[in-house]
Amino acid sequence: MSERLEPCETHWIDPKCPVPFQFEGVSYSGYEGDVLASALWANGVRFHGRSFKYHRARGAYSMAGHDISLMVEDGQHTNLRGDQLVIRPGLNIRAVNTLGGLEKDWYRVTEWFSKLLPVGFYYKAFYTPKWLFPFYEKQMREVAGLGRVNHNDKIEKTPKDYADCDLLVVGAGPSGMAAACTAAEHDLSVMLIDENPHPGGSLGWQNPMCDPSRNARSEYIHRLKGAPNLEFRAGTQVAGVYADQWVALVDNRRLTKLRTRAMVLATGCFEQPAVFQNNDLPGVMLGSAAQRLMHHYAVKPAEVAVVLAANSDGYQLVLDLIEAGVQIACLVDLRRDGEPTDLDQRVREREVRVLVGYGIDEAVPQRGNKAIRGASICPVDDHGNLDRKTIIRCDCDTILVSVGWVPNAGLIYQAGGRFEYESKLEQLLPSTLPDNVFVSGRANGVYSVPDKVIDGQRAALSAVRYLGKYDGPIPGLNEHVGSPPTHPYPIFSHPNKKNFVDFDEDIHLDDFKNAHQEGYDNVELLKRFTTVGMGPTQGKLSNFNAVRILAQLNGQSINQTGTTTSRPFYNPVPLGHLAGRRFHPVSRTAIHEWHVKNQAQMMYAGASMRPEFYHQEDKSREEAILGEAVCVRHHVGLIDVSTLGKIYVQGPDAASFLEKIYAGRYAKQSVGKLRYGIACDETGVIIEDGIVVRLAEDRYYVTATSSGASAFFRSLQRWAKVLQQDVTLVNVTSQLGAMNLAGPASRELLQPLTDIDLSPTSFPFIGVREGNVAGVSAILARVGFVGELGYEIHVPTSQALHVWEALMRQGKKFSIQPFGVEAQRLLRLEKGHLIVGYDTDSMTNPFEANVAWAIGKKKPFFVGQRSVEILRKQPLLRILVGIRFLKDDYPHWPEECHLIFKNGKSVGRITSLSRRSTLGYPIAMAFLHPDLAKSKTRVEIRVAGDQNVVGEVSDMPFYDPDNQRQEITKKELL
Amino acid sequence: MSDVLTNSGVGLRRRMVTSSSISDASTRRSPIHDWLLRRAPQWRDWGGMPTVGYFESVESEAQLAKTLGLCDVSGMSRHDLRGPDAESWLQSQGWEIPVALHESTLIPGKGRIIRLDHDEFLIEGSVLANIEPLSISSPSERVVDVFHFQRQDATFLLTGGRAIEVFAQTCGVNISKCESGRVIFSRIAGINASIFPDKIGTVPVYWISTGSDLGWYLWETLIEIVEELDGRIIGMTCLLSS
Repeated sequence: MSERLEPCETHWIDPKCPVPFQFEGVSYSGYEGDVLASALWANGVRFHGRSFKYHRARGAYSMAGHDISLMVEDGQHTNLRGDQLVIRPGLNIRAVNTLGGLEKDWYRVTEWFSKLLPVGFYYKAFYTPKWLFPFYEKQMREVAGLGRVNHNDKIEKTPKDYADCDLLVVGAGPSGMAAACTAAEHDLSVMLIDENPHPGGSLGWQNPMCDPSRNARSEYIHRLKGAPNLEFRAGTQVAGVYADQWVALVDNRRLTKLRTRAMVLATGCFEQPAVFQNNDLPGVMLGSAAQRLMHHYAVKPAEVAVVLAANSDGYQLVLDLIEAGVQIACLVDLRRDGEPTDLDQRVREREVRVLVGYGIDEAVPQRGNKAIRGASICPVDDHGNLDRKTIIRCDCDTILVSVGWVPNAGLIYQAGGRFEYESKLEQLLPSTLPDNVFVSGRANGVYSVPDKVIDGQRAALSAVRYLGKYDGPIPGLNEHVGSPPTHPYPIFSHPNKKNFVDFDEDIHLDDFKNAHQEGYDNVELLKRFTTVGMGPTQGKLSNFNAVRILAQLNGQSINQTGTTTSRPFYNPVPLGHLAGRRFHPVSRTAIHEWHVKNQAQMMYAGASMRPEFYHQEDKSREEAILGEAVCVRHHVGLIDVSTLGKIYVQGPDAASFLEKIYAGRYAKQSVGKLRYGIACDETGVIIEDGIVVRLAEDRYYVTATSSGASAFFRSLQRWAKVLQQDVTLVNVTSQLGAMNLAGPASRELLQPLTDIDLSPTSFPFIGVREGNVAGVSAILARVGFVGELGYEIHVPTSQALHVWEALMRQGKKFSIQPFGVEAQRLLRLEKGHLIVGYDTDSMTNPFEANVAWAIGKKKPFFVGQRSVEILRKQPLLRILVGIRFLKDDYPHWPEECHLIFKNGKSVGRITSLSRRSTLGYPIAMAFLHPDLAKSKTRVEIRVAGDQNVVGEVSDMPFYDPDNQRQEITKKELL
Repeated sequence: MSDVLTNSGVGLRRRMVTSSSISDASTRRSPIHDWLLRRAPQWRDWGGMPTVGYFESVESEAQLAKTLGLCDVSGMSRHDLRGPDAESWLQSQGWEIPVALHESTLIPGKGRIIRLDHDEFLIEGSVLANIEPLSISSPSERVVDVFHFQRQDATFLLTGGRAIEVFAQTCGVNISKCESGRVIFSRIAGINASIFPDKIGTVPVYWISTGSDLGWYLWETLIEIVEELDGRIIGMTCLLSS
């Protein structure tokens, strides 16, 4: 801890709170508020990580969240950035992307072959011979990627939330704070976002103790706290800007979906690297990184430093370093005219050696390439190249680079902004912006603190005016005076080719030259071939240097060359944040808990939970299902059918409306009777079926399939409007519970519980009655879906459990059993009843489904009628038939959708199937070519292992073809 | 009209049950009845439905209600009234009818009327009162064209100053900017629901209703968030004293 500076108001650390932590198995101590990189640097550890491709040693470089070489993992989280990761007691972390640890990383051998691995070598090397590709792929997958995901780790629940504001201000630097405070004074709800843990931005690290910085800092931080309609979120990144001012905010805990009406983007600039030999080694870093180390973390960044400058910021950096006790070996100024401000004089007064018109040719490495020991400095010639005839050698342990800035433009691009290059500043500036997006501060080309504040106020007032809360004057933009803050080409070639442009992907200058030689002379093509900007920082430190290189290679201007765009995310977002809290709605009937308590195996039926079957001791699943079905056939069973769609249709046009919706006839349907109905879409495809109950002259009650109820109801609402029908439609699906009591004993069981006369003459098959069951108002319908005497009982949801329990109690003496979906499917299959969406598909018409009998004759209109009539005249291509299997001892058994073959030709597919039935043999329902639909026709079903199972076509229904079980003759039914 | 839905509200008159046991006479059950049962609450009867009076202490729950509480009020009667004659029938009762869509008017001492559409209304009780079953007939005794039924929704009351934070995690609408007395139809935690901002005394409360089939899911989702925000489930007794 010997490298710490005296406490200062800009520091983020608390020197009273030591924090022990481990890195690569070694114990260290930092302070509360330290990030990993600052704590390591303070402990004298400069070698932090390995680069992605060549596994070169790397250290702190930007201290601004872009140091991807210091990516670490703690066993639970991976790819954490060391220049952002705040240390905490007990933190035990390791660098990612190493084999055998950071020091002994075996992958570092790749650097020995670096000359053989230029960009694009993957494309050229691994596509032939083809048979070797699986080997290549395996090796590449082994070494690719950075951190490892711990699949055994517990799931971290991360909330996701929504937020709204009138104005979003991104960046809490001087400009952003001024914008937020100004807007908040105009009765707007303002949200200010900054990725750092404290507000202030560059006020806190760039010459922080000068009067303008101190004043602005104290004023605006105070005002931020006092504005009730201003919310400041620190430690939060804007991950993306989407259409309609939808903005994704990400902090370490959650993703916030923010909707704003306008935005001020005061996102600042990124300081840019200079390209020279070994510019990536530990000890070479941005000037702003050194300032952050000093002013935020109280860390002395160097003992002896060489500063490479191309602007005033480099000179100020030298003064800051001297103040911190750093010895300046040399200030190297790339500009031929040197520094025009009084900073030059101030630096020289401190007896600093200043080399004007010079550049750094090489950072001289120590043995092992894990640190530097000096800088080779050469004069810059008239063409901007280094003249190696004169080399000055300076010993140092650190090289600090301060050669220019590029705007943090990602969010501005995403918000719809476009940029143009401004040569006065040697920087991109916003050229066009959407009406509700405003840019201020350094990203807008404004560099002095007072000007940044004024620019923030300007942007805020413009936004407030856009939002209709201000119509006064708006200050103008102060133009930059003096030399450009950015050098136009701080890039120097070197024969040894370790002058990196992109640190993420280890792309050096010659890689670009080679790519250009191969014809990749367009910025988008160059990006994809070299992969520049495609690493974890998404080119924040490399993209613009790549554009400069391409512009020079093409002999074009920056504007002619163009830039690549930016897409979300600004920084990587943990997948857990994107997933957030899982909202997976599950629908449950009122009887759900009873089912669970009574050993039901629950299953999903769409979004609903239903009992598949009820477990029985010593019985397999198949035996339990068959047992339930047998109970229904011989005694009585009860099934929860609450998920059925239930819709009331009331009004003067109720009957005529249903005539138009369903294919059948309902105008002459008697009150107290039900009819089966099928509904088609305009193409004649069956979309729904159910019962249509007439409760009164002007009131019907219809049911729909469980999964199709909502869509069917919406369809009814639409047709009621289109057909101008005077009806009131009410979807009561969740308002009513329903259960089906079925079996020969059902009448005897139910009669004592109801005030309705259940005798066959009073309440015949397909009759409907309203009355009470177990003291609860109910609709009773005599339906025969499962092929037995039965009553469908519809009651208010809140009372469904009461009725169910009453029926189960009463049923004990009749050996009642609850039955589940599987038994119901078997029973209705035996009865030959189809299930829409199960036995039909999105192309099935009534003729194919064998329900043409449900189409009313001579109807003037029903939805799909025109198509149905056309289909009626066309030859059938398939028809739903029954299949009976001659034996059930095949090793592999067919499943739904298995294909049916005849003489080796595919002739159909299975839709429903049951290996065990109450009939004693396996049965199925299937689509088959009509030529083969004749009873007893033998077919083969292709099952697993290319084996065939033989079945024969059978008449349907398999069970009770004369409806004897319903106490009704065919004549009566018709 | 008399049918399965209109007659479903059995014994809607509010009455107190001091015992923690559930009355055998109760035939109605909240969609989350079994969930609540596991927390061993003190029950009371409300609208013929066993409803949680309190869990441990009315006083502590009253305090909790001011910051963040979640209460099951599915026993509250809600009547859906729709059809061409719905508005005239309501007027015939001497009640003030809301004019604008989604606005509400008070039924003194009983509850409120919310306009859902030009011919569709919702009549619901309140914590202090429940609406008796409606007997629909016109003054002239002719059959009116009104469809009426008692809704069976899951209805929860989210209470307290931090309730907005729960909505922030579940609902895309900025509830804090919504007017009190207007119903909001939106998605909460991925399902359709209505939200009615209201106040009990000085405590902001939000009536949340959804289909009973999704009640259990919504309750579990909300309570997970509520508890993360240091809130808890509460019974309705504490609300009566607010």
